[in-house]
Amino acid sequence: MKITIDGRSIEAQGTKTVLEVAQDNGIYIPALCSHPRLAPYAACRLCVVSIKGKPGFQPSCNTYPAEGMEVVTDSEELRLQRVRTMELILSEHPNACLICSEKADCEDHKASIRKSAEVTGCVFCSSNRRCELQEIVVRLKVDSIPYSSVYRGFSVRRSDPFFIQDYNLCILCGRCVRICHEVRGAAAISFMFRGSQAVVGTMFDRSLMAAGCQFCGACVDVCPTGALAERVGRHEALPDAEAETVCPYCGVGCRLVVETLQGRIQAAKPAEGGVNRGQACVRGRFTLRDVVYSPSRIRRPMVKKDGKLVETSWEDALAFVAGKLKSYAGRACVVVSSQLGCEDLFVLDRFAREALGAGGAVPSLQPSILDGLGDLVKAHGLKTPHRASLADLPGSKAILVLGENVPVSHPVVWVEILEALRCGAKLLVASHKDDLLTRHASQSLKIRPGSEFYLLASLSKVLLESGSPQAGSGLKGLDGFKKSLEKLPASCLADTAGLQEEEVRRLAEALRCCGPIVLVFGQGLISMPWARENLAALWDLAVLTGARLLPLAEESDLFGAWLLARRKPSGAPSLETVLRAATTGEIKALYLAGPAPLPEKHGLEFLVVQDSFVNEACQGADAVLPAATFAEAEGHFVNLEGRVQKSEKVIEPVGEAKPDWWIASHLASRMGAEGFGYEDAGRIKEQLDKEGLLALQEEGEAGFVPVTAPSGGPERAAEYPMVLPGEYCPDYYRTLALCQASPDFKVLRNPRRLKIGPEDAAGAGLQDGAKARVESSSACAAGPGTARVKITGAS
Amino acid sequence: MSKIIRRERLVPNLHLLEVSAPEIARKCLPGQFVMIMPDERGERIPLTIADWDRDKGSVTTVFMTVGTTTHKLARLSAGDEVPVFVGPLGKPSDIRNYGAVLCAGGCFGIAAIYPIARALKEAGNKVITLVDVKAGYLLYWEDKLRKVSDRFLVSARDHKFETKDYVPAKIKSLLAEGAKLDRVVAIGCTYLMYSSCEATRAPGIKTVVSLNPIMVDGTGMCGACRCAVDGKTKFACVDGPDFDGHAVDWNELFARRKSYLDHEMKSLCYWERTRLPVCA
Ligand SMILES: Cc1cc2nc3c(=O)[nH]c(=O)nc-3n(C[C@H](O)[C@H](O)[C@H](O)COP(=O)(O)OP(=O)(O)OC[C@H]3O[C@@H](n4cnc5c(N)ncnc54)[C@H](O)[C@@H]3O)c2cc1C
Ligand code: SF4
Ligand code: SF4
Ligand code: SF4
Ligand code: FES
Ligand code: FES
Repeated sequence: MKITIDGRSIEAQGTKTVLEVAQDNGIYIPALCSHPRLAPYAACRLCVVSIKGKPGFQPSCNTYPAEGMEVVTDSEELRLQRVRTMELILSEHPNACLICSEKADCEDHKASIRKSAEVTGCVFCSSNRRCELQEIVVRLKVDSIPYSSVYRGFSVRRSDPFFIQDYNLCILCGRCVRICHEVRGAAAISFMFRGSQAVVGTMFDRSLMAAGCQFCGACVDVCPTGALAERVGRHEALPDAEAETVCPYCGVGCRLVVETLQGRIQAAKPAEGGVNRGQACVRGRFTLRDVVYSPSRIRRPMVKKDGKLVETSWEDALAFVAGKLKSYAGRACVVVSSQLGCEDLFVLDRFAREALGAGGAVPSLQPSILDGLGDLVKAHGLKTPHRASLADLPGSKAILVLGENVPVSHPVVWVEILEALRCGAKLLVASHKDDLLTRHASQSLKIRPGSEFYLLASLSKVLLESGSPQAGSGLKGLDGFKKSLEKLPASCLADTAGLQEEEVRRLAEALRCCGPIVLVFGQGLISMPWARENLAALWDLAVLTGARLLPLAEESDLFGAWLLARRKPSGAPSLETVLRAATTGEIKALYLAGPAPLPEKHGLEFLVVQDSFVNEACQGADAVLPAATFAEAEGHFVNLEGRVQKSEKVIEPVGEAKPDWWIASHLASRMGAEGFGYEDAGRIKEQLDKEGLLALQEEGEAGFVPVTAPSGGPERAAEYPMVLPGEYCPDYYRTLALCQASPDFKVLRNPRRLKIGPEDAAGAGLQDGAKARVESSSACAAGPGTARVKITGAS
Repeated sequence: MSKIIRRERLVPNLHLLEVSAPEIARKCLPGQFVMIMPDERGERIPLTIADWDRDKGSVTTVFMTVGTTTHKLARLSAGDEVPVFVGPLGKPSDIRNYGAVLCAGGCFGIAAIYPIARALKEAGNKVITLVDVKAGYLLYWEDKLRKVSDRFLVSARDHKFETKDYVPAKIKSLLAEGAKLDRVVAIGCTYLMYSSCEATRAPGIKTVVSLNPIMVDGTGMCGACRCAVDGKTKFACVDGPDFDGHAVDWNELFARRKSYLDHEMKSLCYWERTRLPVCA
């Protein structure tokens, strides 16, 4: 439709507010309470405009265009009205600096005094010079406030991790409250009291921690004032540069703008566009700086001399490692982290094969859910069921989540799921726990740990019995699938998962709904011996219902690692085989560019650690090579949708660290391998593109795979009477635990905690807070898993 | 070790600290300062003596929380002890009967100017006190200052008081009104002192400022407090802190006060993260 703004004829859609249409067309209207991610609120009244035919002024942030609407955004009357409004807002805000006659001169002379304890003017405020109030004051030319100002006198709240809250600066725009409720679903903060007493706070005035805050930082980022300020760096001068990176932690691959001052990282904030749509989670928002500058950074190459690691030059270290490794060709393995960029993974993989004669670099998180699906594709020659992108979530009608605590493991996926719920989707959850996820669920089924297979198979069975859904009909393998379902012992089904038939039936009904379905699943689905069976059952349910699959890749480049691994001849070793071979002495040299739980006793003769952080493996290492972090090198990461994203180099490497690809290619060249003369990451990316290695082409026919009942279940149950469902812990970067890097994070989550039912605890003689000893039936504890364990008190 | 008798937040960001220090209380004079160290591992910083009680043996200072040391001081309470509290240091202010003297103070300077105004009043001067605050709620010691002033003016950026003009503008308007000023004493942030001097330069009114360069020992040994006055190098701690504001090289002072900004920020961040632990 056409509307007129300030005499300009403008094409508008009915979905955007007049304010947004104006902004899109470069027309400035001051606004304080509106925000692109939030529903109109119309509280601040700054965005008023006049509309022909309507009396008085209308807030443009909750007015939608209508054909032929004539809007005036700028007139002396409007300006006056806005100035009056602003004066009122500022009368309860430390406004001195805003209207001070010395403003310009003061900036020239005063050093930043953001270090004060309480903010009584902009010069003391961490938002100084990037504050929305300041901008509006300048735009509206407010130069005096005809009221004596009020200091509300709240004490500054500093006892929560990551950010402080000074509600003396709050102008009650409500953005923080609304983003916490509407977008993040945490509802940790609300407006307390009314009228002149109104203030943002928590129920019963608890700490944010106690109120269920996830410390996503969304409120900090939308606050137009300095009321909410990140603790770290709050006192520092403003950044002088920024670069956009991909968050190095999980597979969502949030785009982050990393701000720097004189080449040092200050803060990371979610980028507006991109997959994450302006959101991030506590890890990306608040821990990057602590990680990059962790005291555990390895700064210089080290080699073992007389039984001790001593610092040396790159030249010496490379010569030493290359020389030694050469003698182990064919008896060496390389382990990599899938939090490295594609360039690094590709070169490390080539290094493993071409210089060391190994089967290829082995990702430390393996097998992954992606490998699991890939195996099914290979085994049955079928095409993977449709993949979902994050954008599919909000438009879906039903979402089934399995095997991951999404709000914690992939908070930005959770944000999209919440948006879907607001649009009327149903959230279906099957889990053995009660958590945020189950609390938001429309249907939540409590199942026994590790029994997802039975639930999935039962769902398919119920759906088929009541007439198979349209989506799966006529597809290849349907009969075989039906037969395989029939072969499952009846007792195996619903009741094994601890469910009533009625519950399964209701869940099946929800999946029969018309409209797009997304099956969201994570590592929990494959952390037991019957991983393949689980994935097969999931696959079939997806094909049967036409659902899309969203595998929650745990690591930032897990998808990239999987894409690169596809070119390997079959039989590349898994981490477990590598570790076993290291124990038995089958391999003599190990090259670690990722975390690997090395057994205490092993038969290795030569161990190299290429990492950014000092870790357990360094102790026994013969050489330690400092690797750059994601922030110190350019690279590409493939997120859980298969989206290839570029991460910029933000800062120079800390110490003498070098990009992982650089180290591997220099070693390979020295060992005589050819074609490793890469000069920069760009060249490697060119090669990846030329060979099409990162392209996700999934060909073949859609169809069903047969299912089989899980085997390899309970062993030695008498000795190890309890089932411990291991939970994937997403809080690390390479070998560094986030609770080790960030003191604030340690307060939020410290993974060394065991949750146990009160009776079991009493049986083991454990009290709340006591130390426990966990013994497991499987010798190798690689990765998370559901294990049979014995739990006793530890001294 | 000196015992804290009282620590009180007067207004946002400004705290009063009364310390038991009989030796200092007995000798101190207007314009002098003490050096204080908040804890054994802390830094020594200078604070102007704002009041004293010779009988009780106590010395009062008012400080603003601007960095690690002052944040630490703001967490002390009565009964706590500080390892270093030495003084009186610096030359006392020149107190004579000049005629009419304008005493201008801002931030901690509102308190620091008090003993000077009192002494000037006692010496027979007509004392006009001009207090500058950002907003009405930041005014403190009004009663004390009124008692020692013939005229008491407050300037606040908000409309709480008669004027919102910044100190130099107010000085100019006073002069325009025909007020006779024989001398100006200004204490507060460097910018307040500097701009006051700019306002009195043309009319040629002698203006005394209490310089606040970074100090380490406060006894003339380290040279940290070097200032250029009248083209000569002076040690603010022993040659001052009072100087003729028209002779001060302000640019140098501004620059020197900023020289450790980076370290100061790091120090405060470190202290906050290690000494102010978050709740569990
Ligand atoms: C003679 C004199 C008297 C003073 N009287 C008072 C007073 O009565 N009340 C008051 O609040 N402040 C007074 N100051 C200023 C006060 O000393 C500084 O604010 C204080 O040292 C800041 O220390 P900090 O660790 O809290 O802050 P920091 O973060 O270390 O520094 C903040 C700023 O204070 C200044 N500063 C830092 N260290 C010193 C130091 N050792 N000596 C002087 N300045 C420093 C610097 O310009 C710095 O940018 C006085 C300064 C001088 C020289
Ligand atoms: S929030 Fe903005 S206007 Fe308010 S003190 Fe801070 S910088 Fe100034
Ligand atoms: S950090 Fe996130 S969860 Fe916590 S209050 Fe802010 S928006 Fe809510
Ligand atoms: S804290 Fe910030 S975002 Fe929240 S209501 Fe106040 S000004 Fe608005
Ligand atoms: S932005 Fe429209 S009323 Fe606040
Ligand atoms: S403070 Fe050391 S010489 Fe003045």
